[in-house]
Amino acid sequence: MLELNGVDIYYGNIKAVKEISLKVEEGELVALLGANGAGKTTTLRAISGTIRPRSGTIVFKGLDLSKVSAHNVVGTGIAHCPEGRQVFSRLSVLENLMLGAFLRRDKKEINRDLEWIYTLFPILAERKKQSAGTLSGGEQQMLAIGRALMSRPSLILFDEPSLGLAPLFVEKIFEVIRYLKGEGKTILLVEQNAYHALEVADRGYVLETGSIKLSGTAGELLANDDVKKAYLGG
Amino acid sequence: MSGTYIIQNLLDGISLGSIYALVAIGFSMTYSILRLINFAHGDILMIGAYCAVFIMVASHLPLWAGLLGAMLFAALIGMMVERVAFRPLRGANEEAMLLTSLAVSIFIENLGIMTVSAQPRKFETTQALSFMHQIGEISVSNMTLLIFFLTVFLILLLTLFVTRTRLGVAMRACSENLVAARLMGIDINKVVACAFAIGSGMAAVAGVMLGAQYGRIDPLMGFIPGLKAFVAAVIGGIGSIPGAALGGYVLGLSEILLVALLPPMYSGYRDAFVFFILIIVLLIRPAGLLGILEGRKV
Amino acid sequence: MKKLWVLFVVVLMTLCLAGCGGGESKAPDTKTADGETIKVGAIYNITGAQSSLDAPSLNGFKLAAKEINEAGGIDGKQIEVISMDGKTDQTAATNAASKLVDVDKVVAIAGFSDSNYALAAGPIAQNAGVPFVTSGATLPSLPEQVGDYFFLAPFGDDAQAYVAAEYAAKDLNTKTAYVLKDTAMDFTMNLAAFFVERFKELNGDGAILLEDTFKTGDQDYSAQINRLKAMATAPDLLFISSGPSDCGLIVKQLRAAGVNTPVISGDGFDTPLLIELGGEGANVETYFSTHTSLTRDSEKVKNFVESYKTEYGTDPENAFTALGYDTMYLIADAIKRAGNTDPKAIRDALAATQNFEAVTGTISYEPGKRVPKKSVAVLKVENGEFVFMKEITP
Repeated sequence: MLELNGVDIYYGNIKAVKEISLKVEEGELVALLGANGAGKTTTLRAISGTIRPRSGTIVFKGLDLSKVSAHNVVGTGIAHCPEGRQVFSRLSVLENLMLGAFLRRDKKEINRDLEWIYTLFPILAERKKQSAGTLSGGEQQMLAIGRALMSRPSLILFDEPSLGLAPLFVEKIFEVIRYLKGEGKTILLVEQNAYHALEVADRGYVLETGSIKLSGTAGELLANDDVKKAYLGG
Repeated sequence: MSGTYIIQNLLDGISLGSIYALVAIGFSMTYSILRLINFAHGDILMIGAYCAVFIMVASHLPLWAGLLGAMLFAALIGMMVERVAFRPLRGANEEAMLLTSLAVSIFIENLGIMTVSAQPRKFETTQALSFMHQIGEISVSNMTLLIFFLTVFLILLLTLFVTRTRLGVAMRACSENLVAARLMGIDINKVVACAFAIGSGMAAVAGVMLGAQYGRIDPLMGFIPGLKAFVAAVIGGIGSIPGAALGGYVLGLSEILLVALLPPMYSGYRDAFVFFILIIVLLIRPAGLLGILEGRKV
Repeated sequence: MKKLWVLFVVVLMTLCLAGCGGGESKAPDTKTADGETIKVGAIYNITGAQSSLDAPSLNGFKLAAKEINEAGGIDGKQIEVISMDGKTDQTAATNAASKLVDVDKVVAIAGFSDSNYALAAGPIAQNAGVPFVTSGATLPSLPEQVGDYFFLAPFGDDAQAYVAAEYAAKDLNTKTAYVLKDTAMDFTMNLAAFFVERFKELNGDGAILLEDTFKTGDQDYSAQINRLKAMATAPDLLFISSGPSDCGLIVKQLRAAGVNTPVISGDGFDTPLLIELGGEGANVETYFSTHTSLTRDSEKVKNFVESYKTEYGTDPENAFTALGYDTMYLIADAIKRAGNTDPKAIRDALAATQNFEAVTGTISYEPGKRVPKKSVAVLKVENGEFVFMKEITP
C-alpha cells in the first residue's frame, strides 16, 4: 500500500534521513522505533508532504506522492496525527473535527463519522462547543486522533500518540489503536514506548541516526537482544 | 467641562476609531497567518480611495457604487501584491517580509505620485452625506453615522464569515498553526490570498470613508492610517480580529479625548499620544488587550 | 538561497524607486548652441505638502527666464535654469543645493515658499559663496540666520501677520480672536506669534481668547472644533495659522460643524487647494493676506497674468507664481548690474537693489537688511474666487 524507496531527507545541509526504504501492506500495523533524533518524525512528515525528500520515491496506492501537493496528500487517504497533538486550541472541538473532514463534501457521511468519533471518545461530545485549548493533554490527543479519522483515511500516521500522557490515557489510546486495526485500517505508528508499540504491531522497523538498522515482525523484534537493550529497558 | 462636550468628542472618536478598526482588521489578518507586518496595507487604502473617486467622477455613480468598485479593485490589488511580493518569501524570516512590505509601500506611493500626481485631490460627496443632525448641543453628520454603521456591519459580516463558513474556519486554523492546517488539506495559498482580498477590501472602505469624511485624498494618505492601524492591532492583541477592532476604537477615542481634555498647547502631539497609549497598554498587557501570549509556531 | 532572493527583490525595488524619484530637470529650450549660458539654480518642492505653492512658483520662475532669453538674454548670454525637486523634505532640499553648487556650479539659487526648507538649503549656498534668493519663504529672521548671501524676495511674516491683524481689527471690526496654529512649521508658529502681538496692541491684552494647536497633516480637527464651540465667549474672529495642505480641510470642517465666524490667515491660504478642498466652506467669510492680488488693476500684473496664461494655458494659481517670476527678474537685474557672473559680484549687486519694480510690489533692500519692505494685499474668497479687498503697507 505504502512504499518508500531510497528516501533521503535534508534539513538545510544536514541529512536527517538516509536512504530509507520501507513498506506498509494494506491492513497492517507497522511500528517505527528509534531514539530521539533517529528520523522517525521526519519520515512521517515526508509521507504527509510537509517536507520533501531530496531523492528517492514515496508511492502510495500506486501514486507517486512527490507529484501531490502537500495539502492534497490527505485527499489520497493518508491522515497524519502529528506529534504534540497540534490541535487548533482557539477553535472549538467541533470545528477541529470538521477541519479533519475539510476536503470531504459528503455531508451525510461526515455526520455519521462524527457520531462514530463521539461514541469512540464520549468526552469530545460533551465538550464539542468548548475551545480545544481548554482540554487536558489526553483529551487533546483524543481530539487529534478524532480529527485525523474524520478524513476517513485508509492509512493513518501516528506520531508519538502516548507521549506525555497519564497511564490511564495511554491505555485508552492503545485501545483505540487496536480497535482501528480491527476495523481494517492501515497504520504506521511512531512510538517511543517500544514495548507498547510492538505489542500491537504486526511488523516493525528500528531507525538509528537516520537509517534503518533492523526490521522484522513484532515478535522477532521483541526477542532481539539489541532491541531489548536499547528500547525495552534491558 | 460640560457633558455635551465629552459626548461630542466621544462621537468624533468613535468615527475615527471605526476607520482605524477597518484598517487594523486587515492588518491583523495577514499578520496572524503569515507573521507579516505589512506596511503596504495603508497604501491599499489609498488605492481604494482613488479608485472610488475615479469611478464616481467618470460615471457619475453615487458613493455606494464607488465604494463597491473600490473594494473589488483593492481586493484584486491586494491579491496581486501577495502573489508578486509576498508569496516568493513564504517561509522567509519576519524581517525579510517586513522589509519587503516597506519596499512595496514605497513602490505604491511613488507609483501613485507618478500616475495621479502628488497634488491632493478633492473627494466630492453629496450634500445629504455631510448633512448635520443637531441634537441639543451635539452635532452628528450623516457621514459619521455611515462610517460607524458600515464598520459594525462589516465586522459582523466578517465574524459570520470566520465562524460559519468552511473557508473562514480554515482561515482561523491557518492563523493558529499553518503546518497542522496543511495536514487537514487546507490550501494555504488560497487562504492567504483570501485574507489579503478581505483585508484589502476593508482597507478600501476605510480609504473611501476617510476621503468622504475629510474631502481630500493624496498618494501618501495611507501612510499614517497604516501606521496607526499597526498600533491599533498591537494594542488589541495582534492576530486577533476582535482585538484589532477593539484596538481601533481604543485608539480613535483616546486620540480625540486626549486632544480634547489636555491643554490646547498639546493638541499638536496627537501622534505622540498614539504611541504613548501603545506603551501603556503593552506595559500592562504585553500581548495586547485581547491577545494570547504564545510561543512562536513554525 | 532564499535569503539572496529576498535581498535581490529589496535591492531591485529600492533601485527602481531611486530611479523614479530623481528630481532634476533641465529645460532644453534654454540651451544655446555655443553653450555660453548663465546657470541659475531653482529648488522647489514639486512633490509633497508644499507642492501646491512651489510648483506654480517654479512655473513663474521659468516663465521669467524664458522671457529674458527671448529678449536676448543678459549681455547676450542665455539663462539656463537648472531646477531640482526639494520633495518637501529637508534632506532632499539640502542634497539639491549641494548638487547645484558643486556639480552644476550655478551663479545663484532661487526657490522655496516655506522657511524650513530655505533654512535647510540656504547655508549650503552661503558656505559656497553663492547668493540664494527665496521667492516665497517669509521668516523675517532668515537672512540673519543664514548669512549675507541670503535674500528674501517677499515681505516677512511680521508684515503679513500685522496686516491680517490690522484688517481684522479695523475693517472687519473684530474685538476678540481665537488662534489655531500648526506646531510643525516655523512659518505657522511665527505667523501666529506676530498676529497675536499686533492684535493685542490693537484690541487690548485680553483680545486673544484661546490658542489651540495641531500638526501638519492631522486631517481630523474635530477635537479642536469641539473645544472652540464649547468656549464660554465665542470669539469674533478665527486666525488659522496653517500651511497650504491643511487650510482647505480646516475651513471645511469648521463650516461643516456650524462655525461661521470670519476666518483670516496669511499667504499659506493662497493656494487653489483652499477652494478645492474647502468647498462651500471657503466661501463663508474667509480672508487672507498675501503678496499681491492677481486681479489688481495694474499694468505689470495684467501683463504677467497674460503671459502666464499663454505659457501654461491657465490663470496663475496664486501669488507665488508672481513671486517666482519676480525672483528670476530680480536675479537677472543683479547680474546685469554686476556686469559679470561672479557670485560675489552678484551678491553685492543684489544687496544694492533699489526700487526694483516687480509684480508683487517694489523691492528695495535697506543697507544691511535683506528683507524688502513691500505692501501686503488682503484677499477674500467669494464664489470660489480670490477677490482683492485692500492693499496695506505696514
